Amino acid sequence: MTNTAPGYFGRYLRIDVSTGTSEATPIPESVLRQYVGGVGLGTWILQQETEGPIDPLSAEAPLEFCFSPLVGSPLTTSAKFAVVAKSPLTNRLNDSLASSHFAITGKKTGYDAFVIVGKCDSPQILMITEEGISLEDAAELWGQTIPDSEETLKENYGSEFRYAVIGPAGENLVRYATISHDGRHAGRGGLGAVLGSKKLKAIGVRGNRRLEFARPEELVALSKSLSKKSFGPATEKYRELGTAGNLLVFNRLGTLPTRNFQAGEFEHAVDLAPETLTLSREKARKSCAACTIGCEHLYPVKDREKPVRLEYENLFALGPLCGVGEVDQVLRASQLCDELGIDTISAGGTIAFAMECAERGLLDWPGYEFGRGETLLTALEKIAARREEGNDLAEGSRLLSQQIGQGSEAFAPHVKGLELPGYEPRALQSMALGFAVGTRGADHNRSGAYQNDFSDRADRMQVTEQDVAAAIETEDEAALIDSLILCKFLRGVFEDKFAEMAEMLALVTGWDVDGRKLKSTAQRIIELKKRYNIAQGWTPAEDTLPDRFLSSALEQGASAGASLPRERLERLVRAYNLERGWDADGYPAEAHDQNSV
Amino acid sequence: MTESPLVTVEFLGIVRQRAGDERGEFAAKNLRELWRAVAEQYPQLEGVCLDAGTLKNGYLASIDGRRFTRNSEESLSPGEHILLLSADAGG
Ligand code: SF4
Repeated sequence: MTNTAPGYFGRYLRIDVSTGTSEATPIPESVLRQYVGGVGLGTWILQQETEGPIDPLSAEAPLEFCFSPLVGSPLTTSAKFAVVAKSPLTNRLNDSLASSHFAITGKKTGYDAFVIVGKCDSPQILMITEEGISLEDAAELWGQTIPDSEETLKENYGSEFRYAVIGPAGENLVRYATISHDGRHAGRGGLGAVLGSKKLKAIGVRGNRRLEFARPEELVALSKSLSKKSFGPATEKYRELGTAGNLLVFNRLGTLPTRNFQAGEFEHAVDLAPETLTLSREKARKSCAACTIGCEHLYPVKDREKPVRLEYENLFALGPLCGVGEVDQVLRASQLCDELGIDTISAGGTIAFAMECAERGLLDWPGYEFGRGETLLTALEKIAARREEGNDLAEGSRLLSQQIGQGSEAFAPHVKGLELPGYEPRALQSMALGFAVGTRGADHNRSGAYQNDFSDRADRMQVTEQDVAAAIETEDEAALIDSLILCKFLRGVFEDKFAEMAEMLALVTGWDVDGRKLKSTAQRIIELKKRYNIAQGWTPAEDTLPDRFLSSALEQGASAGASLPRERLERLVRAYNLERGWDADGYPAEAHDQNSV
Repeated sequence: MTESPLVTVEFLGIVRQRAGDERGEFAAKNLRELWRAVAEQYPQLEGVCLDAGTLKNGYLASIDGRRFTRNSEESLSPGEHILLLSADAGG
């Protein structure tokens, strides 16, 4: 065993499922200090494991599950892991986070990460324990939904194991398939398809290794104080309404993407809002493992036994974006995505795009009209099975638009292939910049630039170069939070985020680390992600938005008239690149190259 | 003495939950006066989004849904719609 800092095991387990073998690979402590864990460490390992451009669904493509130094500590919301690989949807780096007991049990096997390469001949379950790995036949599970698979796995192998599972969508290589566990999902970028391409239905972990922390008493005291703060006003929105509380606010501000981003407000928003749903439905609240906030709000669905977790992103993508205002259809659609293992944002974005194409006469798909909830529900089932038009939808909006042509690329709602989340970029222009430069594509979790738009510092409909530093700050913050890993909904409880996160890391590892050092760590991680993408073929032309956003203004609602001329976005991207210390096109300088690793 | 303009305050998100109302009408010349008037009519908002008659950190006013401000000296015009909301838009 490597001698390493507390909070780590100093090694990752490299598993080749083609041969059924595994090998412990040391991670130097200098690397852990530079990239921390989670997304940062995952990016570093991916770069070590990849030689040149790679097909994300090939046997040699690595898929990683990365833990972090804070996993297993008493710090609230720290039971998280990152899944990192090249995305089959974007062909760029993808890092997806999720929280569950899988994180704690996985780390207790004695590794900081698992790296899976190879491909099985037939469907298998990969079991990882402290003693080693094994592959178990998964023929019985292949084709089952995620909840059914989880139940069968528990019956067959007991509840000592924790599982990460794919649904039929992952098996059928849907480019935005998820990896799920305990009702949570590593949702974006199609990493479920990467697992499916290796013919792995599930990964089971069992571990009981003791986790060491450098200053345990102080860590417990800090954890208690953090938990106390997490009950306070800064997280009230999440506890009381959940993220779905954004819906009415965004609608009122004209920033709620509707009918494939043709409008910024939706006439049925009130019917879908949690404020309305709670009047007629008994909701339940849940939380991820080791979380004191509990932002999950579950609502009953008509004619279904189990309730569904409602999040803003599911609601926006399967409701307003597709023009669907019938609440049970939206709830059911969200539940179907969870069961079949489909990313709700990419599914909603791709279906909404197809609806617009059909309405414009570019596609002859009967029933594809905005507002048709039955079409949405059938489309999701067809996507997971890659049946009929579902086979085209399973490719995502970028590839579908290339197939349709006829100018449809202008309104395919993606950046680098990743469908946009529920923030209208013309009306939230700091976020527009965050979307354009994001290494995994359009994403509100890797850049929180909307925080600048929702402030009195910026004119959200006319963002300038003065706002670039604020957008960068949120991206740095996200890189660090995703590497430590903590939940971003804790953000509001910190007074000095970098300094307070440095204190956590110091108590866990014993390192002499402060906020300033962690800030450079965050920047180093962002740069490494960029370098990975460059090695995989990134070009500056990718850092943009679909033409629709750059050539037309919003017409209705509180953001009517909001427009984002192409030159403005180009100026912002250039300013972003220079502020990062890269050249104007976004290539990191050689000097940075030497400093970074 | 000039009369204070009548404006509408629309409560959103957690503020609406606490206020128990979607909106209210208030007479106020500027935001400072407005927050005092809101606190008087909705004392339950004290400690939520208001602190001794001022807007708490983490909350914003939006004038007609277009421009965010926290400036208490911002003057108000008759018929204006002021949205009162949390600045946390994480989703
Ligand atoms: S706040 Fe919500 S998303 Fe974050 S850890 Fe808790 S339950 Fe999970």
